[in-house]
Amino acid sequence: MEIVDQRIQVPQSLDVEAVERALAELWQQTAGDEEAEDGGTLRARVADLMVFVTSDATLTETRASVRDLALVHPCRALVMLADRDGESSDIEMSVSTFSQRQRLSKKVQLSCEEVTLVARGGFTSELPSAVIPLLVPDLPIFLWWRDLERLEDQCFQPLAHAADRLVIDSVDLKELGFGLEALSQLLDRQGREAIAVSDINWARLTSWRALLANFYDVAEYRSLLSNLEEVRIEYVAPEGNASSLAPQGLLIAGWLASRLRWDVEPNSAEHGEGLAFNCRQNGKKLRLLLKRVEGAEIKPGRLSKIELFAGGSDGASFVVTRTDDGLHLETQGTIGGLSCPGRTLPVRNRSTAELLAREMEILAKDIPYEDAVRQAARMIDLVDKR
Amino acid sequence: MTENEENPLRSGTRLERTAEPCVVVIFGATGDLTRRKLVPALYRLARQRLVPAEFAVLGTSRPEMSDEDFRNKMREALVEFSDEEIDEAAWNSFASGLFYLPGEFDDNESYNRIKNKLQEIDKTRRTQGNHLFYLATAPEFFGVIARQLGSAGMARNTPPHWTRLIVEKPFGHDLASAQALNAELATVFNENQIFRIDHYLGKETVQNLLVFRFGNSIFEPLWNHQYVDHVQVTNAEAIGVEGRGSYYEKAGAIRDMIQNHVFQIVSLIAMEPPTSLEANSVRDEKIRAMRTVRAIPSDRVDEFAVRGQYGSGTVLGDTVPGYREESGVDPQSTTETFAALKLQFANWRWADVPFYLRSGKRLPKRVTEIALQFKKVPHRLFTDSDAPLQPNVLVIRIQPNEGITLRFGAKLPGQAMRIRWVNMDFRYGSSFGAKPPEAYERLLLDCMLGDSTLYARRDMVERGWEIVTPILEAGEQPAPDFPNYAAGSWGPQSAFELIERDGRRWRKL
Repeated sequence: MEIVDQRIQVPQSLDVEAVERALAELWQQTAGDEEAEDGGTLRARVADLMVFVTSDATLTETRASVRDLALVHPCRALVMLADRDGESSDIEMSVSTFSQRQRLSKKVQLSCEEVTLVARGGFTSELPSAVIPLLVPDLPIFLWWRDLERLEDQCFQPLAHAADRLVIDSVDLKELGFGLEALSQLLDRQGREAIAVSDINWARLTSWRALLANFYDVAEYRSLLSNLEEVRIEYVAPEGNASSLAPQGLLIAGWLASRLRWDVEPNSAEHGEGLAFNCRQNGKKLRLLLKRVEGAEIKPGRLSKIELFAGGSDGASFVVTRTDDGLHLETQGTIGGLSCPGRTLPVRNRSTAELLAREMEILAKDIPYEDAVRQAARMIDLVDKR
Repeated sequence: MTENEENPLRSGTRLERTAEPCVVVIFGATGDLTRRKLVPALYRLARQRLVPAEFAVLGTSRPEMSDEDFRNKMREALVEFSDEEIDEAAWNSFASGLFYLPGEFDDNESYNRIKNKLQEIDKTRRTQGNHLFYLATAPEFFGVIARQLGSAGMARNTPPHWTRLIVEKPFGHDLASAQALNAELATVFNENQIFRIDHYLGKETVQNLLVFRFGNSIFEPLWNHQYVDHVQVTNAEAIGVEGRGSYYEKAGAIRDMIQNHVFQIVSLIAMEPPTSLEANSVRDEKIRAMRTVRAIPSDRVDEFAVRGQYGSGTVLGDTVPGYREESGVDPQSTTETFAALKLQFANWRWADVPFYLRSGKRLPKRVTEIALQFKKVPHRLFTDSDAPLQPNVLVIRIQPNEGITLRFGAKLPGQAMRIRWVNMDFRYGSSFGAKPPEAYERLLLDCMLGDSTLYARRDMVERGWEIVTPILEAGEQPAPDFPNYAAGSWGPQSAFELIERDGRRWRKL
């Protein structure tokens, strides 16, 4: 596939008609040389995607992701750069279209249109009023908020209000306690303020969650979940913060705790081999351990292993491990000293754009995620209080 | 937490559904279908975590082979027939669950060995006693394999363990043989254990028919005799018999395509809304619609059906031989490679709305589509327009370029009141970049989950044969004047006459 990228500056800023005219012109240029047998280039759009970034570097990276996203979700992307610390300058707009031309047939297959808006200094607060009129009506609206530390930004509220779903990436959370609490409050909003949230970092955990759920899908193994005595979650330190907990580790812990109804005991967080919590499940004691490990081939902040140990007469364990090369997940189970069939599956290592595309397939609230965030926020609160 | 409680790690999640632990036993494991479709589909399901670790495949067929040989052959097949790169670690993990047993389909001892092997696999791979038997053999073995499975005590469903049977097409050669096969299977398996595969139903666009009709409120009010003039279903292939001449000689277009795939599509178009998406709810409505198809009078078959056979010609720029010159084909063959039918429904919704169906090989291009042609406006208002008023058409394209097109009239810009006919297109490929799963992946997973919605039920199969019986009987005498259409054309002249005598035309595709 060859990506056709065309871009022009919009002569008049903050003029919806000028933007629409500029896009129409680009589309006409793209479609101009198409043979008409199948109707030429299609201007398909299945969603509106608003993206909010705060640095030029993130803008470049985001535009690349949006282009990749067009492979799956043709959409109108409205990409905003809010450079608050820059010298004040009014909003500048440019429009681009991305099309894919098949190498052999030369047919243009799938397309995406992007409007980039750059505001600096005091003009950043005007971005929502410039962007919202550019949304294509009647399509689901996603807001990809790329500055997770600033959910209180004055642009956030009007943009979130216009959106059907907020997309974040909790891998960017630096202050876990503050960030998870803010996220938790956002999830608790009710009525017209309520918004569904997708977390790209949660999407990265899908394989882990699926393998754990798969194992206990087998009716014979399910009762083991009631007899868990210890759960160990190992992770690689997040980027730029070697001593911090990885959000992935906390999210998976929060998911297990909320799904399996563990009560995390107050004042139970202990630092030792890792960060340990004492929990109770139906009155029985259970130890949850989050441990940082080294993993040269594993990306920072990612999980490397989850082990569940159950007691009872026979004793049982189920382990999911990321292989040393980081490319596969292996499962291994034992019950009463006998092995269960294991398997090796490729880690999909999806790009941010691919993960975002999957998140854009859903519009409903993701209840297990929300419960996991709330539980993770409670757990990190216990750590902060000690 | 007990075995009967829902898995708390699964509840509320949007994780994809996963099959239960089981062994898939493939009869005909060295055949083309296993190599081309079944094992690649099972491998992809395993790679996508859609089957559990407690999963195995037991292949059986005549040739002697070890487990290791079977694994190597399947790996070669995957390389040959899959466009994806093989992940070695994932393949090795999947292949450790592949086993093979040589055996004759009619030999009791073979089934004792299969039974013992299944017990062993259930133990070592913890497959929980769930067994899916896949008959990927020539149809003459369907009955004998089912009987042998019954005699060996392997066909019983003893909850919580399940036993299911997938039967490939062709399901019978005519009504009597289909009834006989159904009756034979029914002596061993219950109907809810039998899954008759029709890979057309596994296609994403066919499944989308339900969403399109019953997930949108704007089309259903128009979906009846008040607004629809007629329906056309076209299933055209540019290819010939592709080396399968000896098989096709016994089949022909009516048995191979119309009686099963095309009728399945027609039933989805004609059915009333089901009360739920539960398998029998959908299948009840499909058969209810098909039961109202008027019988074709045996003395007037020509008014309702046309058979054709291609001679030599040019297709997509290549000169190709006629059917009778293909390998494995009788030089005097009377097998039809083209069929066109006019069906009429005796029900309220479709009163006086004919369904015209055509299916054939060596037609100008590959296309499968359904077109609903709406009635013309009652009064011609635009008398100055130079073009005659055209009817609106709704086209549901099944392959290739899956999508939906609505044709309507629009004013041509300018001073004069001129109308031009324009298409409003929706194409899957343009709106959704995600690659749909292969039909066999979907169908195998459905069967492992016990969902028979996309499988053909006994009554539907027999009804299909009932409808075409007068055409099959009429086709045998007198001998048809074949070949009657050139390869690369849209079928014999009589196919055009079939629709034109009603004042209508086939769509130009």
